[in-house]
Amino acid sequence: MKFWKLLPLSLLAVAITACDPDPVAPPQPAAASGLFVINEGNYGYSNASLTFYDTESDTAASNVFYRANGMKLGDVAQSMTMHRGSGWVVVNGSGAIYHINADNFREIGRLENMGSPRYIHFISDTKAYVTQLYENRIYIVDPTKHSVTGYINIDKPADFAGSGATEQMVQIGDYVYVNCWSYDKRVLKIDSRTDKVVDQTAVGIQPCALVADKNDCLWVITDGGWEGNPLGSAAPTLVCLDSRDLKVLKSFSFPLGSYPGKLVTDPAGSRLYWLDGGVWEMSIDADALPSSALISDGRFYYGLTVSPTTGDIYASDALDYQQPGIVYRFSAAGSQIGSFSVGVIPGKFCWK
Amino acid sequence: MIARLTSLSAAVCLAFCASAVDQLQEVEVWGRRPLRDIGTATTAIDSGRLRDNPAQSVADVLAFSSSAYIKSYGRASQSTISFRGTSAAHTQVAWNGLSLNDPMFGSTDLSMIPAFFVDCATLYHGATGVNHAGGGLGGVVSLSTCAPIPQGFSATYTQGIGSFSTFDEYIRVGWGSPRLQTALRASVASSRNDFMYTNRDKKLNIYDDDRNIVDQYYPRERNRNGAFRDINLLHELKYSLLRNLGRLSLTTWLTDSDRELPMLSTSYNDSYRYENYRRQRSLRSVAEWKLVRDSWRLSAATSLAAVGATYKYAIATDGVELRTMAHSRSRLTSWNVHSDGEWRPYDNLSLASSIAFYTHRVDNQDLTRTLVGLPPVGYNLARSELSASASARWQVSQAVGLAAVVRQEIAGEIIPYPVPAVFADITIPAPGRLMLRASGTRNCRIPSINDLYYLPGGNPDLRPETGWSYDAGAQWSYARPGSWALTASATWFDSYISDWIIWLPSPRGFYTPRNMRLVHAYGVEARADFALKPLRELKTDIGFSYSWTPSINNSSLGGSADRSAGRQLPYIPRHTATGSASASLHSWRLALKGCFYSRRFTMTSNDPDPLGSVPPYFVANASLQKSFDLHTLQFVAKLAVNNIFDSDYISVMSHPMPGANAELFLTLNF
Repeated sequence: MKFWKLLPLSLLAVAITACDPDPVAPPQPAAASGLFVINEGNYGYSNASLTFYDTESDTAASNVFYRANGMKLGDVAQSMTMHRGSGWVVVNGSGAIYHINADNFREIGRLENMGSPRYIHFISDTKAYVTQLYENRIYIVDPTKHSVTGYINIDKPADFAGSGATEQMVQIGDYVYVNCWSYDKRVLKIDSRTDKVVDQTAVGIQPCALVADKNDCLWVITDGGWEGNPLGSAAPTLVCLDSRDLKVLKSFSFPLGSYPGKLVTDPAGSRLYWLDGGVWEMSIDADALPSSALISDGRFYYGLTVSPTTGDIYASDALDYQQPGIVYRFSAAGSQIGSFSVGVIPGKFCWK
Repeated sequence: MIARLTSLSAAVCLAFCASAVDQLQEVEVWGRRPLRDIGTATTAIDSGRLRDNPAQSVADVLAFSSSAYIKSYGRASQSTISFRGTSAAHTQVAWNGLSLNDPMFGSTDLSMIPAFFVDCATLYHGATGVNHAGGGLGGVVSLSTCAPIPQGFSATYTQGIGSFSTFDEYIRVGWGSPRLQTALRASVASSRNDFMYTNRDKKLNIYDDDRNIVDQYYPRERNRNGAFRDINLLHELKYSLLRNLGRLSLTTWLTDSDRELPMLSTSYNDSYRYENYRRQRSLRSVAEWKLVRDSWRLSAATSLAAVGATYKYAIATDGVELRTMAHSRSRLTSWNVHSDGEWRPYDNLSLASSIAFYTHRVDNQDLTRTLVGLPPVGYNLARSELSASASARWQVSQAVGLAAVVRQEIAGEIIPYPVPAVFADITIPAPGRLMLRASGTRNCRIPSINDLYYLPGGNPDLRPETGWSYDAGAQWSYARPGSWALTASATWFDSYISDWIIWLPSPRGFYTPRNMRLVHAYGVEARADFALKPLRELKTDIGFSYSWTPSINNSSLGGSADRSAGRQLPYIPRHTATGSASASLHSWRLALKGCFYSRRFTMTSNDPDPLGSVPPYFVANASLQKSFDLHTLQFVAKLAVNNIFDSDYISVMSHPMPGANAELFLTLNF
């Protein structure tokens, strides 16, 4: 008989524990300037998030998108770009790009049905390009209408094997340069006036990062693929291209077994930084790769940025990739200044 | 003494099987407790639970009948089992002795196994699993298609129609003579599975004419792209050889599954035309010869499994051209021979051995980029595996039993240390029957083929996962034949698993497995079952199970930043509980069942916020059945209602589950 008396109590206990109070309070408005950290989250988990770091007060606000909007950012946040004071967050796994107010993190609008978006680059107020991981075409969007207006097809030469997947973009004059990372070897040159690919070159297996220096030269890191890759595998390289004709000006080979990536420049565009376990630094005028890392503290960093104003270096550590990561802040000389906690797999940064 | 104890336990056992046969009566059975049960921790799922709802999968049954954790991605979607704080790959699942674990992934999708095809399911917890298979760091699930085929012709036909355009049909036809029996079972299950749910991961925007957001709300969405159609066919053939030379059996199971995969609740790629599906065809066949004598038994079997699967995800983001985002296929062929034997030189001593040899051929290819002229990415390889064991079981006295097993696993060139396991139990004279038991083992699990060779990311340098585990517990049974029966058990378990394999992102843009963690999993498993016959025609059964399973990461990345050390592993609940109750009166039967999972963390740091955890949930099902006897046939009508409290819950983040739904079943038994 006591069983029956206990049953409602146990059900009540279950019901109480099943209640799930919302533990997330709205975030404070963002400072006028600072750093967004784009936390990828785990693939399939939909736990991507945004962290905002106020560089002046040295405070970080975590999970600001969810807290401001009451909904998840989505599955695998890939990148973020600022344009005219607002932020555009590209969420690869969800096929969406959120347009957010960079001050209060509230959504302004969104681009849906974006396939597998990687990066968004603004040509003008009314035109932007969105690169794709699983499609051999770049989407052309109208940011003001949050709609797709066209496509740039990434056709390949007849004797060339490549997926046409597109990745990062940099603009020099009217031309947008794009590296084709996944199962490809190319850097593309697109005329933003005609939205056509006007030139392309193969730089090496899987160019994973692209920047432009102060001389309008392009710097590309190729990751070299992996054993079993249909494009083959090779040692990673750092390649310098002339942006006018895409001719190779310099090429450096990394040791086999190294994993360089996340290439960035200093504010002046005269020094290159990349990750390969630690943080590496090299002058654009150097004739050889550095022999030692600028920051080599035993951590295996996952994301990298350099402050456009101070030159401070920010490198993220994803730890075990299943818990909030840490971003470490270093001076330009490589001395650690501080650190702050972010979200799961902090992969990219965006300066406000 | 032993005879008295065993008669009592038989009575208790039969009482609890009453839910299946609707009988509760005193039965006097004389015999010995099998030596193979010495010191073991098992959960037997009776046929009543397996048959409670014809449309359920084995995953559904185990979720409501055991304290193991079922991780489900949705209705008719991948569902895996894990126990004692381990992962799905640490649970070995076998059907009629044939391993169902996918050699590529290491785990088993229980949603693909219709409960209609399983007559007996037993969970072997912890060290007990070493008796049956290697690699089961958490335990082993043994499924059997073994129901007796009656003499003459027999048939059962069930038709079901339910919510979300769900249609089920099940048929079992059998014929038997004293020497030859054959039976055919078939099931066809289909559903649009387009239930409605409130999507709390998204908000829909309301815009003004200038495209400014003026309001937002959580949308009520339909679970689109969740349709499925599963066809299963199972044939049994049994033949008793002349001159008592044993028994031959051949069991063949064919599956044709076509399942759409619902989008994540955070996907915005679903406004236009798209495809996202997984198709699987499989053939599994087991041929066995078994010979049983008074003091020994011998069996030999061979089995074949051929599984082909295709996965495709394509969307037309422009509403025009369907573009493939992911396309892969895998083909698996496994051939197995195994043999086991037992010799009992004395009534209280058993010596047994078994040997099983597997050879797997796997062809796993990513075809996504073949559309742009690139060759497929993947691997095509074979791996041979050997698993052999020897055991001794000794009933030292009427009260004390001891057993020891040693098992050796080999996979390809990986030869881990032998796996020993020891068992002991003691039966204490007390009101009813009280038995104390303990076991311990040093087990290991060899990495799966994908762990080692998947492209890109496979890590051929992985080490086998190894674990020490022990448990100790008590079981008490008491019955008043014809009136009531009670059995209760509790087990403490403790295990340490090192070199736990986990897939993590790499700097090269893909996931790769690593030996990462040292895990300490411990806790308590408890179970109680009570059968009561308050009135002559009224029979009731109540059952509870509970499991407390801290599964703690004891490894640290070093430094103060790491918050994973000392925390619960992701997607392993600390608390699981199930409850069931049934009552039978004349030709009526009412059954209720429920299961509860506590919060599951998705981060190793155990953040409780919405991105770091999945809320706890309790879900309950009910069924009402009425039987009609019409001369030579029996007609049964059953209404099954799932999620009767319309709980808004998820098992896995961003994978919605259906609210209250119902299905009506009509059954004819010839």
